[in-house]
Amino acid sequence: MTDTRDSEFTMDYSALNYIGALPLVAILFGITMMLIVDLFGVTKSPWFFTTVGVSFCVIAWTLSASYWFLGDTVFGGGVSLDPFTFFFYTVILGGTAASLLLNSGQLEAQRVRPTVDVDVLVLLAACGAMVMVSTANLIVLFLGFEILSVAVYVLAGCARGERASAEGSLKYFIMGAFSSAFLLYGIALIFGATGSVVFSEIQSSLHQLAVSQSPIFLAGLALLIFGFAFKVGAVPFHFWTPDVYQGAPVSITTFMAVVVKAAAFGALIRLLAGPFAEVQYLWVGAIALICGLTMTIGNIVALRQKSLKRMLAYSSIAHAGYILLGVVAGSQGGWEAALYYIVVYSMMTIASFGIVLLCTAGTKNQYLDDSIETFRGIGWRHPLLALAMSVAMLSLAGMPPFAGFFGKFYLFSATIRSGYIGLTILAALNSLVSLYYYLQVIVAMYFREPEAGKEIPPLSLSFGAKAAISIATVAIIFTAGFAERGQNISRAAVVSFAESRRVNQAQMLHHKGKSRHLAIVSTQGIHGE
Amino acid sequence: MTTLPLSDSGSNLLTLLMLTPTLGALVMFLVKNGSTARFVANLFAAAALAISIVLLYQFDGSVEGMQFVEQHNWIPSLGIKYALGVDGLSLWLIVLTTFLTFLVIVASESIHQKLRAYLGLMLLLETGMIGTFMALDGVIFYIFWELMLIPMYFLIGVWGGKNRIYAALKFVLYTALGSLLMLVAIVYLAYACQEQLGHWSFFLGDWLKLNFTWKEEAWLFSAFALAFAIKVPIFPLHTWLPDAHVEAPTGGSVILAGVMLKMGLYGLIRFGLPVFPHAAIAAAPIFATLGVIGIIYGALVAWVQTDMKKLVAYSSVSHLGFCVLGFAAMNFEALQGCILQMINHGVSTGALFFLVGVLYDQKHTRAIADYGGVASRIPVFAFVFLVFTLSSIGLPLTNGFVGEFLILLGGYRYNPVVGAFAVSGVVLGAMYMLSLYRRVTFGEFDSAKNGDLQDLNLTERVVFLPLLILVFLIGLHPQPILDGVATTSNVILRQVTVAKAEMRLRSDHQAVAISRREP
Repeated sequence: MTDTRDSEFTMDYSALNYIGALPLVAILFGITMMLIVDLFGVTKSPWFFTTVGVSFCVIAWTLSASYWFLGDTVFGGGVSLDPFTFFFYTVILGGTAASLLLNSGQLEAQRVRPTVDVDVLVLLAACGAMVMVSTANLIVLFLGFEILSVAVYVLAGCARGERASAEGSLKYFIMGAFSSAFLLYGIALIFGATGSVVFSEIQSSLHQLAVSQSPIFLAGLALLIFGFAFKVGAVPFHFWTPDVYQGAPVSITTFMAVVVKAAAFGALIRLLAGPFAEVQYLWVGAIALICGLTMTIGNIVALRQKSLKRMLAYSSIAHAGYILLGVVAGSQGGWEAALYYIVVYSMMTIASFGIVLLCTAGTKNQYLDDSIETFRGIGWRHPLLALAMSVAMLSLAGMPPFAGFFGKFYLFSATIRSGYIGLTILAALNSLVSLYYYLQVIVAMYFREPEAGKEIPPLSLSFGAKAAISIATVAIIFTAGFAERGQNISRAAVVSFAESRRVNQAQMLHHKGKSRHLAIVSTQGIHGE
Repeated sequence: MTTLPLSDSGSNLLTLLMLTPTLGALVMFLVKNGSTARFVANLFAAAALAISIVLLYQFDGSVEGMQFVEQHNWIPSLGIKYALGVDGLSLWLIVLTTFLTFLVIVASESIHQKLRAYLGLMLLLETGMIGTFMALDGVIFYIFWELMLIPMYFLIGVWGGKNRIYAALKFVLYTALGSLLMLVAIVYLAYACQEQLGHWSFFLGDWLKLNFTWKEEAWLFSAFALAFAIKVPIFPLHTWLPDAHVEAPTGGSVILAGVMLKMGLYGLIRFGLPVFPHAAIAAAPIFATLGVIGIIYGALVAWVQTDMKKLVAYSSVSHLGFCVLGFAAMNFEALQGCILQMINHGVSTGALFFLVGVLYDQKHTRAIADYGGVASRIPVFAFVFLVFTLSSIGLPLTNGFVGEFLILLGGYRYNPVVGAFAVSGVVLGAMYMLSLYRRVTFGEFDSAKNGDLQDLNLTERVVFLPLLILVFLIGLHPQPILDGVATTSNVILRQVTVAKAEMRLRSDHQAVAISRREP
């Protein structure tokens, strides 16, 4: 065992390593550039920093495009370069760019000191997210997890004058510290049980019943899942979500709902569809329970919310539950549906939070007084904005023909295929519950006249925010036309990853002469349906 | 195992028909003022009506199965097809849809605020309704089914009466409850295709080939039937209907009663019965009972209403009860009557809502007590009202008679007791409708309160004339409609006969098995 691990950890300086590092280097270069420009006071224009930030997101994305054709692990088996990585880089960089666009020119209105720090921290957090989703090693996973988390703790509290922001930040930090501890302890236990932190080696050692049934491993797996449940805001680890989502500036909330969630799900899927796929029977019950609770509690509590941000926070909890449906299905169709839903959810989140930002930024007491009633009457005063919001709400509720419907449809297909019919019915009933509170927003926008003296002030529509919202909304509307293509892309992302896993497995087993397992692998591979 | 005969005309007539109103809705974004908007909307609604009439002419009533079929792969990996087709069942419902929508848009003069949005939503709604009637693929059906929901939600919520928000939400949530469970069943059916036919499919033609265990079939049928029963609505799931109808603006009520209430029965006949014949046959007594309860309950509740719109709304519950009975009886006369009565109800109840709207627009009250003796002041209105009252009662020579008669005939053949109870609905119908007519048009005329009532203006006469013609045309010469309907009914009833035989065989087997076990 030790020999193989030593050889795996020997660094080789092949070209692939550089390719693997390039996107991160690009982002870091962008950060450095922004800091230097700021240091010398060349310009204070938020537009400049937004442009630099978004450009480096695009550059990093372009540099990672080659991963779509790769299927290798680099850095001594620490980082995977495969379509799965590229898929999540796309979501993460897209979400980051959207948050930067929403930030630009809107920070002061949100009571945040308009310095470059916010943009820099957003990019830094994106780096952590990118590391997380490309991980093939538990230590690298933890590194990414922490880079992401620490940056977001600061971001959550960046409206320093606001009590809600400070409170949210502190809560997030304490809860986050717990989840990091859970995760780290889980990693330690799994290392103890399997003797490795490298995914492929964990996987092969799990073939021994003595390992996969050992209490140490089980405890490690449970702690690992708890850690992730914290990060995605799944019940019963969701209590931080509403306070943090409400306390953070809306542009940062968008980042948390899109990037942090995508990164956590990316890493979770990498783990559960990767090394832990063989022991699905160990975790599927727990995940199914978390999934059912998350959907139901998220939606039911959202019904009672008066504050729009809190409502969206609980809805984001519920959506984490929907994504978990794909994880529960545990089949190739399930993973691809989960991936598809993550993209769809990101678009819906960018559109809805973007509009919340436009409507609340600059208002007095915006952190605590963002009642749904403040939206009264904007349907007729700002028709396009309200139309975009309606599309986002209906899509979140899963109404056809918008993107959310296809997302749910794929998820339901996957769970039914895997035989979880009760869970699917629960999810369908949850959609009904969610329809009620999403429609409340439409009721306020179109069906009620604004109270006297409470009209929405003229909106400061910054170009960046408009661009982000428009792109997301158009994407939500026209998904119907590209449903097949979107599905194929998420399939390719999963297949490649599953394939490379299978190849790894086969090589590993062959290498160790355990050929009798080959038969099991080929029948149990997640590709085999 | 049954098949779905498809005849392809090679044209894209159905897509064209379905997209025309949407195009009109998009144009609403571009036009600036109200009168242009109304003109444009009229144009697109007329175009849709014209296309549907072309469809009517090209339709061959003697051909079994679907005509004008269009099939394209949409999401092949899940077997989702863009499949549209029309048969004798859907053809007339589509014509009814385009016809009523056109009239509603012509009559949109009573809408003064946010006219462009109103017209745009109405056109969008038309696309949803037409699409639902054409869809041959489960997913496409579901998409159109939900697409109807949102515009109607806005129509009730924005242009509705005092209690509109409650009514709009209740309408959406009720309907969505059924349809979301139906979605799960739709996906399960596709999965069953994967198991039995080797590929995912949402295509109706593939669904007809499926075999289920009894338990599976019962659950799946229940999921579909719940969605459809809410939409019909079948007693006791009807409570959303009075609220939605009363609060909706006139045009919304007309479409809701005229077309959308038919969606439920259409779904039952198109999907429920052919795909799950055994479960549907087993559930027929339940449907028949609930139908008869609906007939009597709706009529009795209508009788005591003091609000005109609510009265007409409950009369719909009663009339739809007849249709449900026609479906449940599952014989030739009853099924024909059911389909014909759906169209009749659209014409006469649609017209009644228009008439209530005429009064409401002027006096802003729907209370029956606020009117009285209006025949002396507005005679043309009173005459038109009389015709539609009689048509709603089902007087011979009017359209209502043919449909109700066929249903009752089939009802007796199915079960004389059920038939006898159903007949009481006809009597009760005469009672509540005539009492409404008497209380509104005859009696003391309060000239202080209603002295300024205006008779039907030109636009309104234009709206009512074709409806009047249809009342007598269908009443005197229903054959053209019945021809197309007969072919479709035959196809469906053949499936029922086969399924009944299978069930008998199965129970014989069980009997044999039991008798073998006994000694």
